[in-house]
Amino acid sequence: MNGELSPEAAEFGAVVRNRLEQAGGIAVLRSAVVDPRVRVRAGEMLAEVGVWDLDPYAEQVQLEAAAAVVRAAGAFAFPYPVSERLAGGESGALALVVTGEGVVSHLDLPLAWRGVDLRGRGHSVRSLSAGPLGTRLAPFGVEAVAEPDGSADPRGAAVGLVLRLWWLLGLLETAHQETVRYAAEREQFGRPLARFQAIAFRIADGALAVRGLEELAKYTLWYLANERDDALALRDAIALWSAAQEATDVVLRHAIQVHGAMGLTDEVVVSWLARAAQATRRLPLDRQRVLGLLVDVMGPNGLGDLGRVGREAVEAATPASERVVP
Amino acid sequence: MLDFSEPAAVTELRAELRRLIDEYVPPGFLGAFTDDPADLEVTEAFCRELGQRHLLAMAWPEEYGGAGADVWEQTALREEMWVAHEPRGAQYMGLNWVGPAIMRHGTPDQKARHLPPIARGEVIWCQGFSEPGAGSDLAALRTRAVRADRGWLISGQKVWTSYATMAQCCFLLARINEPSGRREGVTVFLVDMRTPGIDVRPIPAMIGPHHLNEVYFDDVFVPDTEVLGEPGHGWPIVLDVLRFERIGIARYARCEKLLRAAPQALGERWEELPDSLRERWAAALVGTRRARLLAYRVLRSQEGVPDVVDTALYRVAVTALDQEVAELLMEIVGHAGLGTSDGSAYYEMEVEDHWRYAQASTIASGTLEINLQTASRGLIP
Repeated sequence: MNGELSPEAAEFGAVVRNRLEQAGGIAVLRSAVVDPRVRVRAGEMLAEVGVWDLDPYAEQVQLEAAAAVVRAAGAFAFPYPVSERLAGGESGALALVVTGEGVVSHLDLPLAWRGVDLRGRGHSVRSLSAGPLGTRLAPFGVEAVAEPDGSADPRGAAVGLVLRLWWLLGLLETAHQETVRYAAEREQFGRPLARFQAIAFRIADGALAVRGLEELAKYTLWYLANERDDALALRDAIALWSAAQEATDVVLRHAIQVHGAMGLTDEVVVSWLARAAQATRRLPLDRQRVLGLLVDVMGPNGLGDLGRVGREAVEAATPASERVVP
Repeated sequence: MLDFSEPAAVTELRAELRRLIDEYVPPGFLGAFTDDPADLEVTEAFCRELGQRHLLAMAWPEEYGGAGADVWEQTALREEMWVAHEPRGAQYMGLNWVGPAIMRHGTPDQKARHLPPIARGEVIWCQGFSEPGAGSDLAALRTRAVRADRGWLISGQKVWTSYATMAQCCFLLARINEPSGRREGVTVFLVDMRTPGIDVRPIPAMIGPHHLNEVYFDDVFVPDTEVLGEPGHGWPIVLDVLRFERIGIARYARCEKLLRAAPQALGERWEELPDSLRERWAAALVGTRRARLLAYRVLRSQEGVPDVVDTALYRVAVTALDQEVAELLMEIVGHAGLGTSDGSAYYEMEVEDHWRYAQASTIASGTLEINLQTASRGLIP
């Protein structure tokens, strides 16, 4: 049992994080909201450190490195479709979609976009407008329409989904750290906020949400690298997504509440992170619909046994006489 | 590199334990602590069998009658036992923390006398910690030990003491100074429950018989040879014990078993449930996996130093999960969760039992609030 990313993957993540910090960290997001063309330079920045040479479909260490990279990008809500481009492989960028009209982040960037839904069905994706929405919650969201193209890519859906959730993990880690820092610094009634039990308990709740998501994200990444059955890999990715949606709500709710009115303003990092998280949290399906999907893809057997891959997981979980799937 | 694969030895151990449970634990078993004395006999027979196979104290070093099992084999044992309604009965306390505490802090004589009976499953221990005035604030305990010839005379009252009616021994905390001494003066005594002056009174409660008792000590003589560690310096042993106890029960394992069993147990009724219940079921399965992984995070660090924050957060997660799952399962089974005259409705009886017992999960061995406090203190600079 090992809960650490490989040293090479962790090192790559640290290099990317350094590079993004040097570039200004969260300031890149701020400037991209004002001028969306900043995102093109953001992609070049990642190219300079070799991010696009990674192949998350190759061996586990590359998948881990890809996860470490998107986590680093998520730490600053970096305004670029990092997970989509990594999951897209050499062919371009892979968007997670639902059939019909929806919103796809960064679809206006000049990449060879294709789509996949959460059943693994390939889609063509077409913008319905010239540029991004530019709203506060979806500054880079593009209204689009997706149509099934007859192809199938369940592995791509699983890889794309898991990687974007590592982006969300990085974002939530920053939001939580900022909240702890603020609660320790800000004084009311003559003492730091963190000394009030009601605030301290919110911080503990936030830490639990972040660490719980981290463990699930690591497990699902390992499972994705080792499970050859794409449908099972996608099932567990969807399970991770439902957990990430819940964690997002907990961490960001506490982050804004602990910051008070300051948490609403453009002055603080958590306000930017809370906005930037929404598209990833809600697209292409919100939490209740994700849970409905999870019920469907799990079937009555639920999730497999932890730490086992393939059919053996289902078989070990259920006595032969009670197995629903023969 | 990440690796969550279950070691082959652990998979084999699970299979062996499931075989033994099938053989020795009758269908419909809901634990040792019921109104039916036959359930206690089941645990006694099962423990003897485990003891003979060195599976009872498998976590212990071989020199103390154990099998030197690694942390993951121990975890599998805890999980499989809890899934099957803990057919070791009250033995788990002796195995999980009393024995290990004696191993670390006991004299050679104490180890020789106390460890073999625990390893063989022949003795039940109870924990004399909580008092009417010392619950979460354990250091406020007032039970006094005063010097006597070659020993101590102990007087005071303990409360919530599980299994005290059946225990042969008590891991008792008392102080040798004034209550104002707080952590100083606290001493651990290994008390023979047959000693004159001990009075055990059961407390009727929703979680069923044997779980809660009051224990009165009136000038109970305990010889010097039964002081664990140095007199007056027992607090570090207490902290050690609490840390072990808090990882203790693998509550997530039974939650997972009951959730997974729901579609089969309900049959056609499963499809008739409102979508919202099945969606909560899916979320609960993910929550169960999260709690298990948080336990494994603590256990991984135990190979080095257990992280206080991780341990407290795991406890918050698993105890809240226990209650969420209990509530969800009650909604899933409907009125039969309140009790049923259908003796074959084992699943519904399990759900009813789980709900009652889950009410204690955010209170026993450290309340939810104490765990949140411990975690937040470690998180805030």
